Parts: sequence; C-alpha cells; structure tokens
Amino acid sequence: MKNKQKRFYFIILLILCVASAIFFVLKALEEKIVFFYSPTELLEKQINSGQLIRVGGLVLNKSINYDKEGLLVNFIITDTKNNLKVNYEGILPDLFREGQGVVAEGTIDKTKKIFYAKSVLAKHDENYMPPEVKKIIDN
Amino acid sequence: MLIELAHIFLIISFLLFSLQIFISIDYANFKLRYSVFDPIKKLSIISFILIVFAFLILIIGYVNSDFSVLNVYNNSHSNKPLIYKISGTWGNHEGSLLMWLSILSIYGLVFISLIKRVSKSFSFKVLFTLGIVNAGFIAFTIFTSNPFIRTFPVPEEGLGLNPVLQDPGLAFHPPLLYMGYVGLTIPFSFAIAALLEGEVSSSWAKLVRPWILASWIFLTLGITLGSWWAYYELGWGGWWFWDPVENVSLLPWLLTTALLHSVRVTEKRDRLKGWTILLAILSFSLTLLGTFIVRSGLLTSVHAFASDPARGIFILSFLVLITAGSLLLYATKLEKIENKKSIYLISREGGLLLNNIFLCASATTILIGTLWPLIIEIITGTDISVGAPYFKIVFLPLIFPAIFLSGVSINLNWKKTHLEDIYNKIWKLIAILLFFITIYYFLFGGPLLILLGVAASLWLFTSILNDFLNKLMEKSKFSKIKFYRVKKIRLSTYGMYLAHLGVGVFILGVSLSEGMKTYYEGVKTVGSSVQLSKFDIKFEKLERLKKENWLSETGIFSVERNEASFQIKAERRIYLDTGMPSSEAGIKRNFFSHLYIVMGQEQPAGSGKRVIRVYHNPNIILIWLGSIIMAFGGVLSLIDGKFKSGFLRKPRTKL
Amino acid sequence: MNFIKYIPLIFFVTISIFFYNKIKYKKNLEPLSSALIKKKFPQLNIYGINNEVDINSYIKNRSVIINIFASWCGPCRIEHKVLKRFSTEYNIIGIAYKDSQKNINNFLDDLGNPYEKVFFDSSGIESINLGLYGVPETFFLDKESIILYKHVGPINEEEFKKITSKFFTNTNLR
Repeated sequence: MKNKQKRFYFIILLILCVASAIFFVLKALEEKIVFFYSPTELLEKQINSGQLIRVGGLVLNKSINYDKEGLLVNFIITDTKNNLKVNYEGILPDLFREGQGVVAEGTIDKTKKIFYAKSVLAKHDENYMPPEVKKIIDN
Repeated sequence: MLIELAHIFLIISFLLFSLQIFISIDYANFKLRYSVFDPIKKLSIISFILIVFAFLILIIGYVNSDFSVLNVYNNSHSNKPLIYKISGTWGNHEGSLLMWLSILSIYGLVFISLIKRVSKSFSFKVLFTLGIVNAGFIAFTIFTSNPFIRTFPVPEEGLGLNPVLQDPGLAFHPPLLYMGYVGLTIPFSFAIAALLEGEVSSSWAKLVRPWILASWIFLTLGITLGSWWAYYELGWGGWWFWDPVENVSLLPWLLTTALLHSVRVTEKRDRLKGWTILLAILSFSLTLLGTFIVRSGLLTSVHAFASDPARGIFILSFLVLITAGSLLLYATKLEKIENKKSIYLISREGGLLLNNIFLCASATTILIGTLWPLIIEIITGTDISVGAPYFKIVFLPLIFPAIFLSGVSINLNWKKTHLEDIYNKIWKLIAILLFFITIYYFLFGGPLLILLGVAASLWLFTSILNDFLNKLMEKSKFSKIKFYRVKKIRLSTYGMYLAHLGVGVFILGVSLSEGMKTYYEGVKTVGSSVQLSKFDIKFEKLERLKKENWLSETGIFSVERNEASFQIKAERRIYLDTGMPSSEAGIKRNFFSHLYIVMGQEQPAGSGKRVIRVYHNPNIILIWLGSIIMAFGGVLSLIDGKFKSGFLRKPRTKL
Repeated sequence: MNFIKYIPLIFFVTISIFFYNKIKYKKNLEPLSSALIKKKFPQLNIYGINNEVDINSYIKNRSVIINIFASWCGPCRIEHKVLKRFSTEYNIIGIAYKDSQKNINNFLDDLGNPYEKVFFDSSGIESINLGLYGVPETFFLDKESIILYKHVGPINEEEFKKITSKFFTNTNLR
C-alpha cells in the first residue's frame, strides 16, 4: 500500500473511532445523568414518575418517623416554600437529623406526592454539636 | 517578626521574577536577550531559596501555634499532635499554595544545578518559562491567598483542623501529589523552550524524560495514597468515587503516562514530536485546571477548599494565559518541529502511538463527564450530576484495547517488525493465556466483565514473561535459555516490565474485588449477629470512652469463619471542638483481602440499634499494591537513566 | 488537515468561556444558602425572655446584626469574644437556638453578654425559615430589615470588619 493510501485509511479509521466514541459518550450521558430539584421545582416541573432524580432541602423539624425496626423511615424535605414527603428504606447517614440539609436520590410518585428515596446524603455541617458532646465540654 | 520576614521574602521573589521576565525580552526585535542569562540564573536561585524559607517559616508558625497569624488561627489548634500541626500547614488553601511554590522552587534549584548539561539558549528559555509560571503563582498567593496576614487581637485558641484531615495518609497525600503536579512544570518548560527554539531532538527527549518520570512516579504514589486513605477513612468500602476532584487528578496522570511513552518514541525514533510537545503542554494545563476547579468553588466535593469567586477569576485568567498561549505557540510552530517521516503501524512506535490515542481518548471522556454538569448548568440552568455509572461505561471500553495493545507492544521491536516475527513471539503467549482463562473460568465462573479483567491482567503477565524469556533465549527455543543474559538486560527494561506488571496486578485487584465483593448494611443491637460470605459476625458490645479530643464509641465484633476466629473493633468518633463525627472502620486483613466493618449512629436515636455496614473485599489490596509496583518500576527506569544515559553525563550533542 | 492542530486550542478556549460564565453568576446558583439575601427578614414567632416582644417588632426600622447561637455550640463560644468586641459599636441581637433560658443565662454569665437582647427559638422550628444550616450564623440587616449578608459559621474579627465596612455605612448608631 502506498503511503498516501495508508494515511487515508488511517484517517478514516480514526474518524470512525472518534465518532463512535462520541456517540457512546453522549448516549451514556443521556441515561446516566441525574437531575437535581428543590421541592418547589419538583411540584412545578413535569417529571416522569420512573426517572431517577435528586431532591435537596432541609429536613423539617419533628417530621422524622421510624417504623419499629428502624430501617423504614419517612420524613419531610422542605425548601421553606414547599414540603415533600420522603419514604426511605435503609440506613441513614451519620449527619442526618432534623433541621439539616439533605439530598435524597430516588423517584417521585407524582400522584401520591411521595418521594421514594433509594439513597440519602446528608450535608456536611461543621457546626452541629451533639448533646453528648456538649455535656463533655461543659464539664 | 519572622512572619513579616517571610511575607517580604514572597514579595521580593515576585518582584525578582517579574524583573526577570521584563529584562529577558529584547522588545525592539521581539526576541530573547541571551546576554542576561547569568544574572537571570542568579536571581532565580535567590527567589527559589526565599520561597522555600517563607514556607519553612509558616511551618514554624504552625508548630508554635502562633494564632496571631490568621492562617494558623483558622486551621490549627494547640492540642493537635505535632505531626498534624505540621501537616496542617498544607491542609488549607493558602498553605498548600505556598507548599506548591516551594516544591516548584526545589525543582527549579535542581534544574539550575544541572544546567551545564544543556546549551545556554535552551536553559534560558526554560528559566524564562519557569519565571512566568512562578510569577503567576506568587502573585496569586500574595494578592488573593496570603498566609501571612495577622489577626488582632490574638485569639487564645485556634479553630482546629477538620478531624478528618488528622490522619497520616492525608498528611502525606498532598505533598506527594504536589511533587507530581508541580514537577510537570519542568517538562512543560522544556516543551515551550523547544518550541521557541524551533527544534525537538532526541537529545531533548533524553534530557526531559527523567523529569517526566519523576513527576509520574509521584503522581502515581500520590493518587494511590489518596485512594487508600479514602478507603479506610470514609467508611464506604470504596477506593474510587469518580469525585470531580479525583477525576481531575486522574487526568494529568493519564496524560503524563501517554507523555512518558511518547517521549520514548521521540528519543529512540525521532518521531511523534508534535504529540510529545502537545502532551507536555496538556498535562501541565490539566494540572492548572485541577488547581482551578478545586480552589474556585466551582465544584463541591470532599476536597474543595473554601470558595471565593475572586480567586476563581484570578486562576482562570492565569490558566487561560498560560494554556492558550502555549497551545497557540504549539499550533504555529508545529510544522517547524515535526518531521515528515512516517510510522510503521506494526512496530513498537506504532503501538505507542495507538496507546497515546487511547489514553487521550479516556482522558477526554473523563474530562467531558466531569465538566458536563457545569456546561449543562450554564446552557439550560438545570442542575445535574454525572456519577460513577457514566465513567464506568466510557472508561472501561477504552482500557481493554489499550491493555491488549500494551501486551503486544512489549513484544514488538522498534522500527518495522515482520509479521512472522510477531507470530513466533506471540503464539506461545496466546496459548498460555487461553490456558489460564479456561482454568479460571472453570474454577470461578463469574460475570463477563470480571473475566475480561482477569484475562487482561493475565495477558499483561504473560506478555512480559514472553518478552523476558525471548530476550534470554536463542532462536526462540526453550532449550537454549541463557541465564547470564539476565544481567545484560537494562535496568530501564526491568523498570518497564515492573511498571506494566504493576498495571496487571492493579487490574487483577480491581476485577477480583469488584467481582467477588459482598456487602451487608442494616441496624443491629448489641448481641445480634450478621452472616456474610461464610463469616459469622457477632456484635459483642459497645464501649464509650472519652479520649483526648474526641468522644469514642467503639463496637466490638467477634468474627468466625471456618477455623479462624478474631475480633474487629469499629469506632465512631465525635470530635469535641467541632462536634463532627467520623468513623474509623475496623479492618481485618487476610492475605490480600479485607473484612471491613463500620459502625455508625443509632437509628432511630436512643433505640440502642446501631447502623452497621460490613464489607468483604477479596483481593482488594492488589489494587494499591499494583500501583506501588508501577511506581517502583518507574523508579528503576529513573535510576537507569541517571547512571547510564543523559542525566549525569554530558549528552553527545548539545541542544 | 491543518486545522487539526488548532483543535486543542479551540476546545480549551470554549471550556474557559463556560468557566468564566459560571464564576460570574456563581452567587445566583447557590440554592439554599443565599436564598434570603436581599430579602426581608422573615416573620418569626420568637420572643424575648418574658415573651414580652417578638423579634420583628423589636428590630423594626433599625439596622441590626442578628446572631444565632447556642450554649451547647463550641464554635459559638469562640466567636463570642468577637461579638463582645463589636457590641459597643453595633446593635447585636441574639437568637438562642434549641436551648433553654437557664443554659443561656449560665452561658452569658460565664462569657459575658454582647447582645442587646436575646430571643428564644427553643424548638428550632422558626429558624428553619432563615435557611439555617447550623449554629452559629450571623445576619446583617438594614433599616428595612432586609438581609444584606449572611455569614455561616463562627465569624472572626477580620470578617466582621470587612462585612460591616462593606454593608454598614453610617446606618448604625446606638
């Protein structure tokens, strides 16, 4: 094969690879990105009930309820304008408590206005002082 | 007083560098003025030394808990153990910048001490580039991130370091990583100098390679240490989270690996010059990009320092200036430096060219994934996140062909390799490989991806073994193995073997641990048990103790499997000055595997039920072991280069 | 064919433009913490010691600094000195978060009292309307009770001076 021909085929091959790579990447992005909403935005926007999304806000005081076992919990996320009921089964992160910032990832059941969370992340807060520590400091 | 002195040192070095840049240029002819080379060299030495002293003075401030210094007040505490007071110096934005500058200064000093190896005009250009980079970083430090600001009245006590950072792994992870990142400034400067000279020779490649190797070794170790730290400290049993800041450290590593291979081709075959120069520029630019992303507050992550838009704009301008400037220079000078010689695809250089392409492609996909949330946010205003699933999908398909090529290329010669030669060398390889794969499959079964991963690592092992044996054998016959040839093989070849062996071990570790890991999470009371992977784990008791600066809740677990029985302690800490909890996982090692237990908070509070997570990670240590072997391979190559070719001895042709 | 060598440059410049845009508009994109900047201080049902006055009536038509704190909060103790130092120059109001009057009294007896007045949000529910993340947090209000700035976490002297010199100009006299 002459050099020029070789080069030509090489370029074609390269372009094909790049194109398929880009296609691959975009497809992956489409399926794998997760949108983030506040409770207000969730109520306002059109969202498929099956789609995995994230919701963030503060845990409303006195809204946390556990079932007997402790693994099924429901609470309310608020952005001070609107509230959203969240249902979650699983272990909660260390920093999860009322009044804290939290992000839940899961699906919304639009008709029931309940968010079924698959995972819950708590915002890292430097200023919370658990009561047991307060006791230690004061003594 | 000392602090003010350090402050002055910084300012002086900034002025000196600015002066350097100013007088280096002959404005009338738009050229560089070589006559000022000696003064420039001396000024650089002074500036570098002043910077290192400034950094040492800051460390002294931390050791003495001098809270009159705002930076020390914000980030330290008199109760911290000495070693963490010292590491606290760089555990914050301002201090870490000063460390960056000091490491750059030390690299600069080393370069200057070796300056006789190269011609004056070349080293002048390198110093000129270094001067610009330094001036930019120092200016950034002084004007937006000054560690030497005092605070009045002097506070009695500091605000304490984030307890999560009071940890040996994390104390050393930044310095190691920085030695890698910062080190890339030298190859970058070499590349710019070569572009300005209009020539990229194989002597140039020989000279720059040790610097690239050194940076690569430190980057590898730094990233490995970070991953190891995240594994045992964060309590999630994972060792890589595709966190934006992790990704942003991986990008320079990928490109530096490509650069390492590319520069070898330039050295041996005088080709791929454009690639090598571009890679040198891009790897450094990605380092700057990484710095920018972490410090500007654009992305939130475990690593992000406090955000400040002013800082962001400064770094961005600096980043744009340096990168756009270099890329423009590259585009304009490319024709001049590139030679028209072609590359045979079926040769070592052909394989390495493809390797370049694969590594750059993976880096591009990771870059796109990391920046995508930002891009979408600007365009549509929606908030999205791109997580691990994306990265796994785009990264893995690129790695497998690259590994395959790697195995093949190890067995190829430079220049053209005849197909019959390949056949002779490789059929044994393939036979052995198929043999092992079959055995593995019958023993373990397993998902296809894991099988592919194990196959990839075995491929690398057999390729290395194959090439090694071929070097020892005469006429490819097993009967004629000459063992004396072991000594004749160059140290850098062993380095190469070891580095690729490390990659194989790494891949093996990832495949086996991902394929065979098991996990349990739930809430348990004292006295209850968990079964996982034939382990019988009993939650014996919970101990509460007050320690120096934290409250400790320790879960004690007794574990039994087959004949073995042992105890694991998983601690949950609450630090007294900040109230922040952290978990110290209880990890039991068995050969290369881990049983890993984390105890969290009570759920619900006051019920006596504790959040328990148990991970069994078989063969996970191979991951970090592989990386260390990789780095060690790099060290062997570095030593070889040092004593045999261009590093200490004069190159045959001066640049 | 020659334009290929310009691709890295073009790619890079495009990304830089995105970065620049993001930084410029960064403040607008933080959903929770800056939600109340430039908005009026919300109506809160919290009262002083003997329930004699609610906070909104108390601060009406005055430019004040509101500090949310608690006796059980470590960093609050540290920033307390800073507040005391500025208490003579500025009107500092305290909101005791999830705390009892007894503990607050002990706290203030111990460390001194920088507050013109202390209000109590013992359940912590009302402070949610301030978008509170945790304690301490300090709000800088103008005469119309508009929140000019919110500082999260313990405030030090430097920051205090910077904020007041930027936002409070001749509006604050005892």
